Amino acid sequence: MTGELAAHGLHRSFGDLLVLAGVDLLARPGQVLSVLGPSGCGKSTLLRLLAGFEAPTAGQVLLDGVPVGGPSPDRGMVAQAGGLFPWLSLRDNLAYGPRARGAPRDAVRRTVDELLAATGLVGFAGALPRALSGGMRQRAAIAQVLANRPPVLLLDEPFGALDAQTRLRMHEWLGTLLAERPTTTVLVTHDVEEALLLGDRLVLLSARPAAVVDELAVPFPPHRGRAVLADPDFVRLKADVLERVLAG
Amino acid sequence: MASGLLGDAPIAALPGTAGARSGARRPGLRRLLGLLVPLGLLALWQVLASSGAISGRLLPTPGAVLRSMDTLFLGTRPRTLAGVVPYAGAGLDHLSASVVRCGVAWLLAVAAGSAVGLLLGLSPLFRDLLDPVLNALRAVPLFAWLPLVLIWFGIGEGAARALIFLGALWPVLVATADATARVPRAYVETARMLGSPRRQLWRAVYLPSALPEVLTGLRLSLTLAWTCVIVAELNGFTLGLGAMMNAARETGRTEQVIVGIFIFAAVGLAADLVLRLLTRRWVRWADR
Repeated sequence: MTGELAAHGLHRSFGDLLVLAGVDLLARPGQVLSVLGPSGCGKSTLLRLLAGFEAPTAGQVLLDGVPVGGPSPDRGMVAQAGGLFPWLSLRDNLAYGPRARGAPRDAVRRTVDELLAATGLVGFAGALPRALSGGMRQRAAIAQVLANRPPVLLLDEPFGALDAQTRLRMHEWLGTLLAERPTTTVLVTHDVEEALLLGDRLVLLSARPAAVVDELAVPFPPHRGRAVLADPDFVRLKADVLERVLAG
Repeated sequence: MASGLLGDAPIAALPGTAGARSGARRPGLRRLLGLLVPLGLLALWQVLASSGAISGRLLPTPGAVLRSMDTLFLGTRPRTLAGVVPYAGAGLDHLSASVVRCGVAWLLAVAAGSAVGLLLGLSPLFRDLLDPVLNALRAVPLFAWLPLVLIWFGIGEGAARALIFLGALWPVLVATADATARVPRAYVETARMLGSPRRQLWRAVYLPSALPEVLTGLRLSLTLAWTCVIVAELNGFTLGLGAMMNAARETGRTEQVIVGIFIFAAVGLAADLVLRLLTRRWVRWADR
């Protein structure tokens, strides 16, 4: 399987402000890599570099060994507020990527129908994004990116703006979705529970300027549901990781 | 996966249902209130004009205006000499002359204004290059152009269209430039990330995103263009609402002048309504 995303010694500064001080990452094919760090540590900047929206001051990003340039459908990114175009219906939003890349009409329709079903939004195909609730919108934004079948999915606090209950539902939904279509995923978050629930591996960043301070495998079976939240080992690990994040 | 499991509740009703539209209809009785003031003004007008308090030369009665309107559109048109502005039966000719004159110049202004506006909004280079000049030109009062336009084009169709064009140009240009420059970067990045080539961005992102604001500019510009018609037609025309009103003024036919005012108002309102109806489906997403 391909879709190995690696970052080597990523530096990024804005003027005199050093935001990333040599970040190394390896997202393994088909796995979810959670990136956890204190607020304002440069997580979003890191993801924007991985997506290619910005260039690193030093270092490089490699997809399957090939350096990445600008943004590309190979690395689908979803931000906290989602990327849906407010003037397009849900169906046209999901079809945007395949159409932009010149996919045949039939293939576009099949892809969109399948994703509408996977997101539970079949009844909303004709709706504008503003008619959808926050959770629906974020599912749609993820589906919009997945319509291109990207080898890599980049998620920047995708559920950060949602209430706790909706967020938990979204975690289970995303876990199922990624189990059905394995996609190398980098999930940037400040939510420890989210990072442990969805991640196969976990990277801890320091406070700004960000560097990797620790990396660990999440020792729970993949595609874990919310039942794991009550597991004493999970509770202990969560408390431990939270302490380390807060310690910066 | 059933949507029930995900706890979904859409924020607004789906499009096409009544709830999706903002601003509920006012109840019928309340809407009638809006008619009270015009009816009151009409009554006041009737009283003032028929009591003799104001001379008929200054303020003809509503009835006289109505009869004059009837003559304008339904009267038989007498043979007139060249160079004489016709009245009886010439209503449609005046109306169509003005509408065509305004429409042609407005469409040219829309084409030029949106093209230059898009260029300004998309390219910082063009903005730096043209902004000072355009701001200076924009500061010139519209009718200060009139003498120059008359010298350049001579009295007639060319000057009229040039003046209307100038009046209609700025709102389109400014609205398009501003709206294009303000398109959120996130939309552009998303489009690029999803696979849109750079050269398609203006059509896929900039235009639809800017459209609601651009259409507001178009409406303003249409109103201004229609305003310019009356000034543009003051001299050198035998057909056109402005020409008709000016001839009426010269011959002391106040009721015909008032007829012209009503036609101007009606056509202006109708044009704005048509423009809004035609473009509504493209900007519904931005409705508040």
